[in-house]
Amino acid sequence: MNAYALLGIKLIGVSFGSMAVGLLFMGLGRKVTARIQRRMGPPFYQSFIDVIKCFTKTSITHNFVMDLGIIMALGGLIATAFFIPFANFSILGSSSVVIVLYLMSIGYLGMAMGVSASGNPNATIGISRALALMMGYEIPFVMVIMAMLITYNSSDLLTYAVAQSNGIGSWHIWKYPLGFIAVEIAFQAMVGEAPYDHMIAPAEIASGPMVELSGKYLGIGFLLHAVQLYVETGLIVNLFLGGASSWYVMLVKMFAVYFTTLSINAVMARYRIEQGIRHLWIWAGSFGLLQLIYTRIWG
Amino acid sequence: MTSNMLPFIVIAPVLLGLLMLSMPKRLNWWIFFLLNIVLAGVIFTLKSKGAMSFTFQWTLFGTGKVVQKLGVTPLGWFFLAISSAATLLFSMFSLDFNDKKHSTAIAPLWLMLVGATNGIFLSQDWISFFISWELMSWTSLFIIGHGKTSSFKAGIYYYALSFFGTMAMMAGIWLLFHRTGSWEISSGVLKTAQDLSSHRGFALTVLSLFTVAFLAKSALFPFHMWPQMAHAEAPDDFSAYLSGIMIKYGVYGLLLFIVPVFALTPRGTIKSISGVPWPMYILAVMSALTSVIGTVMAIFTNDMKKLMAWSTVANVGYIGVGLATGTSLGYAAAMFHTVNHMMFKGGIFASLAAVKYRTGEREMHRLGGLAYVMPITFFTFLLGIIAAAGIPPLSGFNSKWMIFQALFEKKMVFVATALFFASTGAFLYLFRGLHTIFLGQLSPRFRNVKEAPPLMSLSMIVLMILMLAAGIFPGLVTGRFNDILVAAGLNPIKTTLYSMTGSTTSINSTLVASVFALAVGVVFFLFVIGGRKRRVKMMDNYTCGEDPLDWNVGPDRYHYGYDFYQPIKGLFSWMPLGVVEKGYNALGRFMERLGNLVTSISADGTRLGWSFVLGVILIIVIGVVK
Repeated sequence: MNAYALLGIKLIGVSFGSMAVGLLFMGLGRKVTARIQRRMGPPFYQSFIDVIKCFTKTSITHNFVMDLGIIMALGGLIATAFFIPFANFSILGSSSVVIVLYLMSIGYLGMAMGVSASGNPNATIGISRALALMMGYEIPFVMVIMAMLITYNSSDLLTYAVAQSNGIGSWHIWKYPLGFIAVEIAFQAMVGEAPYDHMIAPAEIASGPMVELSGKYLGIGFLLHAVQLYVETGLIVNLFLGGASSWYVMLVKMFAVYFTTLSINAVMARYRIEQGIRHLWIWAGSFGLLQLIYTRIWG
Repeated sequence: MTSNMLPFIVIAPVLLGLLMLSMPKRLNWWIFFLLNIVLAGVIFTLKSKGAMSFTFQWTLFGTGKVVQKLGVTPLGWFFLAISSAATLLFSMFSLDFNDKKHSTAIAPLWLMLVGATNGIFLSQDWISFFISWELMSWTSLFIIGHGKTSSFKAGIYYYALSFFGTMAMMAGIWLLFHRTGSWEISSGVLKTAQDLSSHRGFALTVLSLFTVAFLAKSALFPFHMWPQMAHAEAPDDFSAYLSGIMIKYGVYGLLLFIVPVFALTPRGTIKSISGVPWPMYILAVMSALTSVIGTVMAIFTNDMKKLMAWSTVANVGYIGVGLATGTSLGYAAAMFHTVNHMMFKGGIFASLAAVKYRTGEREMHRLGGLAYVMPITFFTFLLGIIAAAGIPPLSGFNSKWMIFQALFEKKMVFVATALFFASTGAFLYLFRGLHTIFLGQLSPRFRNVKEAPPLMSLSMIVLMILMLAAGIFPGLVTGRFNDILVAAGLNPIKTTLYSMTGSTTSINSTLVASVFALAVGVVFFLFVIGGRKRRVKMMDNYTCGEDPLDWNVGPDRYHYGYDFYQPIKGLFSWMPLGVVEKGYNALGRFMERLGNLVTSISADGTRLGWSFVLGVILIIVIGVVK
């Protein structure tokens, strides 16, 4: 097979695969939340229906920056998905965690740019909260990653995943227990679930960034969240849960991560924004720092 | 090979600048632009002509013969080339910026400053270096002042700190001359490296005196507060030069003198922390502190030029950390970030100058929505902030990645944590600039604002292309580093046109950029096949069923811009951020009182004054006799 065809297949596979996985998780997640709250909930394929419906409707735009921002956002996140090893397979042969962290930002920047160009103050307030929260979770997360980085002297996610492939005992949960706690707390904020759902905050700022999105813009907004779920759960699985040897194990592990997050989300209230960041710094930050100090000195 | 080209590129701008003081303003800007073309042309041909130098000898009273030497070293040429290219772009920008309404009379001084800059990068001896350094200091003082009281205050502040540094450097030069008997820079480096094992106290004194001078010039901690005054108050078109080129003199100095000294010192001569000699580790910590302070201050600043000045401080912190690791990777990363910062901050300040040129506003919350009327300016700013936030596929990512690789190589994880904090914070303030100036609601006052004039737009477009090129093909810049590294006594780094190899992994920037482009292509396809879109006026927003105009809220007030990060202000209240400034202010007031005292004694010519003078003479005489 020639290289271009292979690249094309990878492109289509990763783009639509990550969207499909994310949408599936979102659908299952709604079901899980509903059952926790003793409701029936929508069918698990509801998210697919929502997105397809969104794409068929007429949508509203204010200017070219809005279009550009939304496209850049999903493009950036899909590009990030290429650098997450899936079932111990690195799609492009390189999966540096530093690239993942920084490339994800272009998605967020695009989203932020697109919705601020809509001119609705609620959207911008949501973005300002999201960015502020980023200061909270990014630092603990990075500290834990650095702990792994100096152990293996490599920043490749595949290296970490392969190092954990000898059964459950070799998982990084046991090797970096404090780091795992820190990352779990930070992860809650990364996907924006309660108690860190300041960005969306439906009752306060009318769904924040989503407030002005309609039709295909809203559809891309859903897809954005789907790919974000794929990327971030994939990141956690590769970092801590031993990667995976086959695609269904990978999916189960990824959903397990999301399931934990949802369960916490279902029973928590929202912090105020500065409380949220302080909480992240104090708890996630101190666990992360302890892990880093431990690994740097004794690891 | 002796070349008369070298003194030409130093002295011609200075002399022509003096001559221009008597010429009309508009003509001056043209001369400035044309001479910059000539200079850039000459400088770019210098490299191919091989090693060359120009020597000039004279006798200094009491110390014998002084040999002044200008020459082209790999490091000097590199800085010379990037600064002349950037100066050319900025001068093209200024040509349109300085019309009848906005014109300033700084062109002659600026030209002299360009000469001084070339002198700094060409000097092979401390005398030439010092003369150029001083010329640079006072010309920039008058440029920053440019005839406004508030600006002159900022200029004085800048000059006072820089003067402190210059004095320290002079002391260092004298000590070095005393030790080596030569004014040459290269022999100073060798001797100091030897002294680090035999006369450690002396060597460390010399090194710290020079470091003070370089830190003061590059606004590293504890001199981090002058850019927010000087950059903000300087003429708008000059701010780009100030932030793009002038802030790097200190970096050049550190790369020229401090890093090679430690590179030449055998390992184990001085105690090291985490594999880095402890003086360099302190430098790394101070630089990291600089970026943290710069970042936090930038987040809560409302003046757009001040915000970007703080961002400059933060970025110089990155450069400082990179070079403080002392490895080839760190040295290369520092140079790479220097180039990138020159491009992206030049672009950002150019776009801010364009905004101010069209609107006359500097307070961000009074602007908004300018992207819809000034698209080129907006895209320059956008690419600038993407690069500044270190996001691929722009150039900033490559250099930040290299800096982090240098830190990982030495396992300096705590310094790296501070830098990651600064890097995340950068996202906050950069997005704030983007939103508050260019996005959100467009005020009715600015509905008829036009795009920046052609030459300004052209130089911004060139800057955008450069940023993209260095981002997608890092080898265009990193490929030039290896002969500089070898000349400084370090190992070469591994790099190709597309990829860079660090300590923990290698990345292919071209691959990252193409994956991003392809992914955007897929999304664009989805966007096109999706349903029809309809364009709606900005004020037709979702407002829970209320019409903002009923509440007398127009686009101006509907723009969320003022005190953007108010909810998280309290989180930083524990940081003692203003302590150093307060200390300087107290010192400043003390000096002012001292000055007043002396003036009051001597000015009215009373007996007290004469007795003071007599007293001083008496003390001197006693000192001499003893």
